Amino acid sequence: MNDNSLTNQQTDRRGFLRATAMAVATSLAANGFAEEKTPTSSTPPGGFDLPVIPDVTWDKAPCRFCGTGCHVMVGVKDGRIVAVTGDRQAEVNKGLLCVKGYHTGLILYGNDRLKTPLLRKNGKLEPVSWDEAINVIAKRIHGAPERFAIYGSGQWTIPEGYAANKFIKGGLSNNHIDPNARLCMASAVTGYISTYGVDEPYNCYDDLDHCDVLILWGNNFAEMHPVLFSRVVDRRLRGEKVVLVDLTTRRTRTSQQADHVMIMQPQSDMAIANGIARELLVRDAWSKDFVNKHCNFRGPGQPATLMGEAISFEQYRAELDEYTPEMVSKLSGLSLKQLGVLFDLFANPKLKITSLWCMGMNQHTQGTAINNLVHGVHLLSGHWGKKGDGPQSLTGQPSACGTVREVGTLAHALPGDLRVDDARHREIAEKLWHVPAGRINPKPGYHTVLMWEKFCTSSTEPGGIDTIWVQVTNPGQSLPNTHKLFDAKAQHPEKFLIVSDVYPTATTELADLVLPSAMWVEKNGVYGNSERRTQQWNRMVDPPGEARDDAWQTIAVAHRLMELGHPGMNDGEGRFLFHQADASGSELPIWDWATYRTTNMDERLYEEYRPFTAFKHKQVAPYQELVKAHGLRWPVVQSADGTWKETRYRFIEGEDSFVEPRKGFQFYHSVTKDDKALIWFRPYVAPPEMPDAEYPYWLDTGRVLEHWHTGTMTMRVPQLRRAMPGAYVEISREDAVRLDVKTGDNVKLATRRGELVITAWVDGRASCSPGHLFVPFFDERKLINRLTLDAHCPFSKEPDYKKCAARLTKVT
Amino acid sequence: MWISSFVVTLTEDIAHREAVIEALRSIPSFTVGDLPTPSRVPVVVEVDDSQQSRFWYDWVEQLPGVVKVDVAFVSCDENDRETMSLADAAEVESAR
Ligand code: SF4
Repeated sequence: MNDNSLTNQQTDRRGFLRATAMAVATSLAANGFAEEKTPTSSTPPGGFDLPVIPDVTWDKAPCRFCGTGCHVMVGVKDGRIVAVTGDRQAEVNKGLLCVKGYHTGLILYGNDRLKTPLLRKNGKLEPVSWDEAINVIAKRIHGAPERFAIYGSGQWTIPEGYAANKFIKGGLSNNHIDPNARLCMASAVTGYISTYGVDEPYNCYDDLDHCDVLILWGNNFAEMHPVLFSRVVDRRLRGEKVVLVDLTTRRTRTSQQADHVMIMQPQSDMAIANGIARELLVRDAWSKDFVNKHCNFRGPGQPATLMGEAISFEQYRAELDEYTPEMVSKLSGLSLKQLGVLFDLFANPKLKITSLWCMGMNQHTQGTAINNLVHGVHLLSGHWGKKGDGPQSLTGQPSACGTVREVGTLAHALPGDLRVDDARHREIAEKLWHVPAGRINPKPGYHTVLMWEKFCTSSTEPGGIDTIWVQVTNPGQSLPNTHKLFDAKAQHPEKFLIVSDVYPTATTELADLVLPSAMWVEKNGVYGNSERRTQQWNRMVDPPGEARDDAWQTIAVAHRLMELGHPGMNDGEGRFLFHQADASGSELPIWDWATYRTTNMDERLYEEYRPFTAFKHKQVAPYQELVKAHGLRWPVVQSADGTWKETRYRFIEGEDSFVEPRKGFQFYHSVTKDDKALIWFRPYVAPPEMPDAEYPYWLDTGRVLEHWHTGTMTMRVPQLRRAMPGAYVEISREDAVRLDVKTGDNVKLATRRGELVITAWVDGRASCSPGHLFVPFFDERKLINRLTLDAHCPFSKEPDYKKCAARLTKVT
Repeated sequence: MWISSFVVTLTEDIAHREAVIEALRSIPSFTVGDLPTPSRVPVVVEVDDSQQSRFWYDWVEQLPGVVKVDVAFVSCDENDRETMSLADAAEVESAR
């Protein structure tokens, strides 16, 4: 080919891509989120208007990042990702992506991908074979299975999490498995369970298309769930009235669009919620009919417990009595006028009010309580159960719902929202796993904070943890108080840390064995997003070097343990715990990488898991239905004509097939066994650490638009890293003047747990109030979690990353 | 070659809208499409250097009158693909 023809070809290709890009954008600009399509199994992912680019094949996948669960179409050429576009038929995002989703394809190609297993020898990580790596792990576990733990993730796919859960709970009879999602949404779980008797939102993103009022409880919606935020902005641009209330501790990009920005004092959300409930009673504006038919009242009990104790309506009213507008105003810093806006909204039965929250309410030492209270104001006011009218939590990770809450990878749980401490639930799980009765340990394992505390202290103590296997997460950067909960591992050479990951991280720094993992579309996968939507994708490209799927790693170790004679690695019939047969009934050696790779183990593991989901009415769709769809929201039930129907709203007659006729609403997993939800009183409790003379600032931590969590993936994408290259401390103009600090100056930030020299950003991207500081946690060169607090909610065990006391000094 | 397309959502303010469209049209690497609705503009961005792609995204986002920028499509050729490791951090810091 001569130079001219090459140039012509490039020009043609460029013109072609330009036309394609314009066609996609024009179509999206024309439609926005306006259309409301009903998903069917027959609409192909990507729709009928997928860009046709020579030599590029397209397939669907959920975005790798946040819990929104946008659908992308991935274009592959010669074994590499060359194009990404939003899936226009996907209800979640209707073809739009945020700036992170836009760069998803590049996360595979950072130039320091882990490609071979590495074992620490004489202090240095050195390449070893997979065989040696698997042997090392199996022997380590075989020596002390009860002192082994798995630390997983809301980024695990459903089959990966299921395999790890079955391995440890159904194989090792050990429940020491917990995910990083403990750090982000455990309070939402305990909030749902103690309010409705069962976990996960009853509603879905459709509420954003119908609400008149959107209240964001400590939730920077514009940056953290940008595509969902677009749905609301789009409605406003179409001329629809949607009142946006931003209840927040700092001004953010969300505040820029809000009608009411209410800057509250940290932790005062509890007082505000109680104040709203009191005012509804004072005004006699509570929904008597709804409450009398569908709710009971609950108080925390003495001492306070997760399920509390029944109280009467009169007791409830008396408990709320002290939360006068004046008292709430004093605690929260909101004016009486601002509180009046909230009171008026909830007292108006004609409005449809959606409340959303994420980390602000969950990463909270009273996380369960504030979740209870926000559900409570909706139930009490009757703003519950109509489209656009109800409370809904969001998740930060793509499968925090699917893999953690539904697969039950929490230390107390079993798949399908079952529990290890319930004999009937254990019996169900043992039968489905074909393991002998009594195999599952009835004692819940260690939650995240306790697991790492046990790992970072002397191993001679009974109940200690000697070995942790980390998959798909980076605790060395994301655990709170990391000096105590992670860095202290360095003082205990007898401890052994195994890390499966795709890039070197703060966690691999201390690892004794590092396993290279396949990521995202390098493997098959299934995720479950924030609105109960289960999403499937296929492997599209090969992982680099010797990187392998996490589920294979788990199965290979299980098989090696069986060879070493561990009895738990056999099922009740003496077969391998993960036994699989081919069409002729012969055993498939899925522990062998070549066999695993040519078998769709995702489908097999998912279909094995699926029966668990029937026990709590969370029926997920068959795998082959997911293959055809853009994700389906459970419970997915089969109609008489054989088609599968998803559920947008649970507990509501006409929407949820499990609600009995003429019931209207039915909380069929009710705590009180009478089909009623609970309206809780929980008192305001001050935070465990507050600013004082020595540490006079509030320190808040969190995320930024460009980076996802600890930045392991997004910091490898040049465009994202250049846009937000490093962490900073956001400081108010008033404090900056007082401390003589300018943007770009180095400052020393200290808490009772550690200190950090970091760059100041006066007013920052957002804007802190005087006395408040904010630091994002994405930057592994500025480990802010060495400073954060590991105090946690007594019920959810979720730590509070949003508030501790800090000191700031200028570095001269 | 890095080709992407954005949907730029504009405020209701007519003066702002016109100013934004004019600004978008003034950039040689942008192609502004027909406006199917007054509040949303399809834009194709063609740049040779992948760094510029993100630069222009940020530039559009901060224009007065722009409510938000959503991404519709992105295509990059293998030759233009730039990769990074965390070890490159010093270089990024100095480039800041
Ligand atoms: S909003 Fe979340 S899921 Fe959607 S494209 Fe952005 S990061 Fe991905």
